[in-house]
Amino acid sequence: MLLSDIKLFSPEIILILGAIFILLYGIFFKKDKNSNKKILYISLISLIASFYCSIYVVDIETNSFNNLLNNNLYTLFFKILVFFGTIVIIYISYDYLKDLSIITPEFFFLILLSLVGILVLISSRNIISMYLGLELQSVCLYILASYRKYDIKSSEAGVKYFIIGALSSGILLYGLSIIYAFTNSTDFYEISKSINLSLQSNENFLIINIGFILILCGLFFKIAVVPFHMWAPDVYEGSPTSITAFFTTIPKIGVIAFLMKFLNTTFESYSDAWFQILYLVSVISMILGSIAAVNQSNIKRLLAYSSISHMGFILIGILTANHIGIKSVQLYISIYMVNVLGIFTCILCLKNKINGYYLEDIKNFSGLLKKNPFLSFSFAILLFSLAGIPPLSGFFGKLYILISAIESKLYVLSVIAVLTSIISAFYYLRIIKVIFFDEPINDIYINITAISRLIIFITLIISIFLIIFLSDFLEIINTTALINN
Amino acid sequence: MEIPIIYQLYLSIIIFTIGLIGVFLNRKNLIVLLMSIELILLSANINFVSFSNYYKNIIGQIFVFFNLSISAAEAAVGLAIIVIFFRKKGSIHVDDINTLKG
Repeated sequence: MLLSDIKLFSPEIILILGAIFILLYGIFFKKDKNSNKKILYISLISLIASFYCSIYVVDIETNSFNNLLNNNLYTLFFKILVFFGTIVIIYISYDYLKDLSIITPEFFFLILLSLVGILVLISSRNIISMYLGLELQSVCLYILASYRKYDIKSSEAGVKYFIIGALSSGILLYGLSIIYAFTNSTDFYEISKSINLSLQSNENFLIINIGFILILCGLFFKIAVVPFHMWAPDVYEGSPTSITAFFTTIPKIGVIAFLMKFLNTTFESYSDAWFQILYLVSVISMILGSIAAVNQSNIKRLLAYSSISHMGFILIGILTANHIGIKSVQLYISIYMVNVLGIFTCILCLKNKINGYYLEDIKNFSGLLKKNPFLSFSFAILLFSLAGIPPLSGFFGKLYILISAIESKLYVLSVIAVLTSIISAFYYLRIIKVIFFDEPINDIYINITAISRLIIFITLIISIFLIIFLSDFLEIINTTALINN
Repeated sequence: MEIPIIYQLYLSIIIFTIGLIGVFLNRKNLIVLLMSIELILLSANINFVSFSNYYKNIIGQIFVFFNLSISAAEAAVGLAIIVIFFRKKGSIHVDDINTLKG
């Protein structure tokens, strides 16, 4: 019994052991000049070993630890996505943090532990494991946000993220406690059974409605959609850039994966209630995300608002709650992750030649075309892809979301989605205009390593040629979907 | 004498509301904010414990142990971040968190 649980939990165990080993190694070999390089390799090895285990060792359709965790193909899809993203982020962070000379073993430790939290969150089927995973992930992220501790912006981002994050976990926990009080169980499927029973006998719903809304509020804080988005631009601007790349992709994938599973299994009978909530939230996040980004001059703030509007787009796929909607969310979020990671890798290559700061203001990107055509064209293609210009990958993500909305007869919502993505195309195009046509303001120093060139190249290939292997990818998504027809 | 379950629920709701009001109305001190957040977490724990006792079901009490350790870890991390912020800014006044704005 216990041995089989350990086998099913092996990816997370490998990551935890790797993290502890990194911390010890960092303490005992502090004087070694190359210790950070070795730690990078140790963390990559443990990531790849854990990746291997989650595919070949963990059996699918199994429950472990007394039904606390549940592994199936749906969770495996998101886990693989998260692994790829983390490997890319560890690589780009290594060069960036080394350049700022703030690289320490703790960084790798925190990234690996927050990855463990996300993996637990994705595969949870009990409110205990879900809350523990979410908290493990967020506590690590609070520290990562304030990682550049001698910088006032970064420490302030840490304070803001901590307060909002702790408040949202408190609200989430209170909602969970109300659900427990009402249903006397912590398992998602048992909760769903007792909710169905009470729906049939027309009992008092007010209290469970409050609990459900509190849980949704907590989760919306974590993915930063509109009434709960205020923290996102500030935190994204203040944190170190490679960690911002982590914030915009990996934790959101985890929470989205959980949210879809939670709404479609536990609260399936409440679909009318959450349909309206998600409808409202998705409309206002698309509108605010695209309008507020127009005025931004800092690229990290701009990407924060753009991620708000992308999350609004994803919520459309979730609220349709049919099989096409869920598959289109899987497609959309994988494309979004690839594009955003590519853009952040590009941003991390650009420095000011005079003072050596990394460029964050958009108007300083001017004249990049003459300096480095490869970087400027890849910037342009990735931004076009985020904006959803046809042959590129972002277009197909938006297309399938819109198809699912139209199949559910949500015509108004689809019109709003199309209009807001036109507005958001404006600010993506503005960056491209600055790069290609504006007169250079200052000298750009381009610091592009072989690895980041490779990462940009791969993301470009995926964005341009997704159209060729789209049917294969949709086939993969079909086999891993949560609901099949 | 057993206290009726509804009063225990009222207690937790009152503490939760005090915590929420403390977070939103407090314009003074970051430590007070941290205390309000702890109140919110504790109100959820009261719910878990009282309903665990009411249903004679041990899961709620087990969850409370996890919650207590999580909130301790969170408070430790939060205080450390506040110390870092204080070193740079020289103040933990809520109105002084204003370097980043759009």
